[in-house]
Amino acid sequence: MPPVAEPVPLPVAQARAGNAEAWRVLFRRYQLPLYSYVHELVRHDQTSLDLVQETFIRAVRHLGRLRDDAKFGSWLFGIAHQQCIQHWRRSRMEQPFDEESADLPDESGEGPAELLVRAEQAAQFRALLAQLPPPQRAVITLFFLEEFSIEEIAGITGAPPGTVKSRLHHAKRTLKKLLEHQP
Amino acid sequence: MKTPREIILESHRAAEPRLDRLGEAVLAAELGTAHKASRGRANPVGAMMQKLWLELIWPSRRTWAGLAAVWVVLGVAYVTTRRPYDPTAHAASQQPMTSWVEEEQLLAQLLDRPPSAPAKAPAPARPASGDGPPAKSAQWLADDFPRFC
Repeated sequence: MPPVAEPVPLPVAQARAGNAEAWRVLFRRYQLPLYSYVHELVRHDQTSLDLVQETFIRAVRHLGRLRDDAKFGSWLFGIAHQQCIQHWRRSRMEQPFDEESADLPDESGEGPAELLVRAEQAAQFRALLAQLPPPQRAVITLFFLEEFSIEEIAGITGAPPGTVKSRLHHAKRTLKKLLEHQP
Repeated sequence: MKTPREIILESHRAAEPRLDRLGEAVLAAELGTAHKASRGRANPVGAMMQKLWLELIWPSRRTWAGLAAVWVVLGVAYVTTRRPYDPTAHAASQQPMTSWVEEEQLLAQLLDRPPSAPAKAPAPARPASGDGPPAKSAQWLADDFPRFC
């Protein structure tokens, strides 16, 4: 499995001081995962770009509020998640994050590598991911993209950790089942 | 074999150039900077315009587009329904004033009064104790005094 965590600490402190080059480093590191996450939720190219842009603007303006620099990634994804929620509210769409699920056994010990996909199955995998309900899709995408912990995902999505565990469990089970039935 | 992360990121890789430009635009607007390769020095007017665009126009672009469309429709409607200047319409607007003057004259004849003179431009102000001719109101009183007696 390719490493996801950064060997070099991110220049969050320099960015907080207004260093443009530090912001470029942060943007380049997170722009594609952030866009991918937002796109998985809203399913529209231009809207996803708009929401990522709004996320970056808010990050530049409010970085001073971040207490722990090591949590920059989850903080940024939390802003993006809130932007998606606001987008749904603005467009008067039913907010798909209201449903709750029962707690299920914790599977957070398993990493994303447990769900390796054959190269020829990539398109099917994306289609299957799109079939998941948005709350499960959000949780599993955050887990896949950045390997966030249950607590971090709970912080990003605003859902209780038990609910996050449950959604992750359901999403993994559904994806595994669907992939097993794929040719 | 690929990890889910690789599959998801690869499927969105085409958006990277636009994301690069977007990041630069945000930095230019928020920090007042521009990429050194594309711009020699920061342009405050450009940065302000970009900030205005990002904060004022772009978030409500559909509303702005709707307003612009309404203005275009109003402009087209105005141009297409506008009529050329009609001098008879101007003459017609003077007709009530003419009839009013005639009524005044008729009333003066009925009351056996001299018809009032046509309206003149107001005389320039002069001191109350000036040496000029007597005021018109005083003259009118002197003329009509026998009738009141």
